[in-house]
Amino acid sequence: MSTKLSFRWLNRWLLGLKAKHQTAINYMAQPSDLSGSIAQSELLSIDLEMTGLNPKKHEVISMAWVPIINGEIVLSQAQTLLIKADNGVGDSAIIHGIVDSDLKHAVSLAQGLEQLLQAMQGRVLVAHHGALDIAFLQQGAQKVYGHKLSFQLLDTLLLESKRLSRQGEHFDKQLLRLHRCCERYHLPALRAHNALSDALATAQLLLAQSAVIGGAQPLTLKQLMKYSH
Amino acid sequence: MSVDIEITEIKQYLACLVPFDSLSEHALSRAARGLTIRYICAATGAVEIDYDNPQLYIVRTGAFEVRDKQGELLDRLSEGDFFGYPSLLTGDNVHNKVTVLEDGLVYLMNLGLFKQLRDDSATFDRFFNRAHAKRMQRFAPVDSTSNPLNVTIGKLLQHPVISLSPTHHVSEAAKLMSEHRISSLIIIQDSQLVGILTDRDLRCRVLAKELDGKCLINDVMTTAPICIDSSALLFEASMLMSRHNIHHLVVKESDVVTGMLTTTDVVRCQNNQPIFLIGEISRQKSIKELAVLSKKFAALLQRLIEADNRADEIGRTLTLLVDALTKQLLILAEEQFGQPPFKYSWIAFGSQGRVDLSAGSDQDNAMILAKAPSPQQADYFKAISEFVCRGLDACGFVYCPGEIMAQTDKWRVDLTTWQKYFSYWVATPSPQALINTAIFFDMRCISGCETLFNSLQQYVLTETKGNQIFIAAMAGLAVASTPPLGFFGKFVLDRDGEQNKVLDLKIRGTALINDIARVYALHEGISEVNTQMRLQRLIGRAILNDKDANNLQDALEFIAHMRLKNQGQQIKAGIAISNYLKPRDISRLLRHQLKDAFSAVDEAQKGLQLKFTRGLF
Repeated sequence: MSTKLSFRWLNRWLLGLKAKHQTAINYMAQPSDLSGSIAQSELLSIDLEMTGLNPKKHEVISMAWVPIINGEIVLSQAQTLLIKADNGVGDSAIIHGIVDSDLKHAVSLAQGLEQLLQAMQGRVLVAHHGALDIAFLQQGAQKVYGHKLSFQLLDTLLLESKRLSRQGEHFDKQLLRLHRCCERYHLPALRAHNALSDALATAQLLLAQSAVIGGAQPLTLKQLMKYSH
Repeated sequence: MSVDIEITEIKQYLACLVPFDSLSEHALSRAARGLTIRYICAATGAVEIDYDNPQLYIVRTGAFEVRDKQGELLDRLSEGDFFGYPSLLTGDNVHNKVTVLEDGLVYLMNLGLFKQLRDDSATFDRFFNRAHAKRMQRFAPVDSTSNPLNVTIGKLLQHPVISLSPTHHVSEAAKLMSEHRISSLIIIQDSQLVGILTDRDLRCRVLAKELDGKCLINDVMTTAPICIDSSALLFEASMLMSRHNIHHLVVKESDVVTGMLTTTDVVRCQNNQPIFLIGEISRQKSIKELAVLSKKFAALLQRLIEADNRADEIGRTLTLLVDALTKQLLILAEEQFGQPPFKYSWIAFGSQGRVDLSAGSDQDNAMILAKAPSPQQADYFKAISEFVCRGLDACGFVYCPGEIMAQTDKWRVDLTTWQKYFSYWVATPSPQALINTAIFFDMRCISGCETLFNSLQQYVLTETKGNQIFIAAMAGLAVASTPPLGFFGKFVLDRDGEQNKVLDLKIRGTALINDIARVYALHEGISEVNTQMRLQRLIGRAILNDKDANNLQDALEFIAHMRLKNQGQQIKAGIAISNYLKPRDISRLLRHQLKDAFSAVDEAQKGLQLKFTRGLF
């Protein structure tokens, strides 16, 4: 574990050396602190909507995030952005309901990333099935900054998967979908495939999961990450 | 660049929530955007409230309890409820303690935003001020809106004006009073009120003075009677009566006499209706009249439920009424068929036996005869039992589908035969046979000879006390059906006739507790048959620890209360009364408590199994 972490640190430092853009430099210069519990930390729950699932082919068309500061979801700092897609929305509109005409108010990928990185400074990322979101963010960073970034992620899907398998239950992969997980904790239903709704649902899910996993003795972020791997 | 972000779901949620629904569109957006969200888990016990930074807590999911510094329960909260506002309103540190019953999400609103919203909407402001005041008075004994003393007198008058002139003979007055079953007359001359004549006048001024019925009303009546206006409150009438130490008030409406108000009317209004119904029952002279009167039972039941009376008290009230009905029917039967040739005892089984009747119960009764009857005597007892059972049926307590009624020949026999029945049941306790006979062990004497009944009950208890094989069989039966909880604490739902998913609060709830208490009582030779009383008597005995007995008592009261509330709703909605509850119809908090009650039953069943059925089943 410790070797892995120090490798991550090294990786982050090396990537930081490559950074030329000020936002990227600032972001990379402030690694997040994993030693506290959720109640003592700052996290940022994010969700991206894409035109498809392949980061090399498809594009991000919407980003949303909401911070969790000292254990509280702060709605006043929630944000949602539409991103201009070079190749149009295409068939994916069926899923997320965003059509090309909606993208008139959209910002460029560079502007979107800029805002997201500012919100992410010093914060740990939270996402449901975050590998996909991160793959798209890395692709975007490569395009905008010419290099990759380093992310620290708490993945609510992985947490849930580990929690269910520790209970010894065999479960269908369908049970890991975001809305099914929310139901399991009696969390309110949210509109699916809306980036802000999903980011909020993910944030609520993380709070519920950490309460159930940690109980009276809340785990640190580091312990939670370890639990999910 | 920065667009105002709408958090649609939260705004929509608030828009449907009283008092947020009174806010302007703009204020609502601001409210939704200004919240923070916290997840509170039961493992942490109490909610930590930061009094330096008071906030309004909106319960989104989960269940909570608010207690004051002394630990007194102030409120139970579930989805859509609020806490934390007393500090926001008063600025004081209100040291209420909020404990978590079930994990949940809360939305928090800071003081600044709360103030802005109170400024935005007067309705919003009033809501929280009222809620604060209401919680403070929550346990005040009198709720002024439903206090019967605030009824106006005009609404209470039972009869039109019944009057005579002062020149009539006293004997005529007495006849008129008996005819109408009233205790007083209004005396009128030339359309003017001149006095009243009461029972007391007849006693003190006629009989005690050795006058006869030929004297004139004018000589013995109470002149210048005290009057009250029909718009006055019952409360004022009651004050007036006690100040003058009188039982009758003449009621006037703009100087015209409209009736007489008596102490009986006053008392009748003060939630003592069951007593009056019982009094009324003893005055009815036929099955038909009793059937008419018994139509009032449903309304009474409804009122008792709405007034949030304890379930066991409601059960007792209804049982008392049916006991009175039975007694009156027996009196009427004896008037019709003559005096019995020898003593008998009329007994009730099942829920009437347990003093736990509910709406829609059927009758379970029997007779113990002092000796074996001759054919002619047998006919007599058959006739009166048929009369009583028919009467109960006409009053809404329908014939027992299993024929367990005194009119069935098998259940109208002498003491020795009864003893043989019980000996047989106790000696050959196959589970199947016990299903049908369990209710016989909850028996109570309703009318007739107590000694006969007591001999039978003592006999039964001697047979059962410490009888391991019989008790094991009873215990096996008591755990055969389980409370409706699944492995992961979820409700397991049955289907009702219309294929709705429901909980059966009787079969899977109260009946199970009755079964458990019966086993213990028979094992210990306890003669009580009411389940709460049985559990009470078990406290302090080695066989069941006090905590488990108390838990069962609470569980029974809670489940029975839910069942009654549900039936109250059914009566209101005009649908058939049943024991079925749709869990979706109740709040999560109640569902949570119901689960707790069911798990207490589950625990008790496990304990019973361990104690009595080990190695047998």
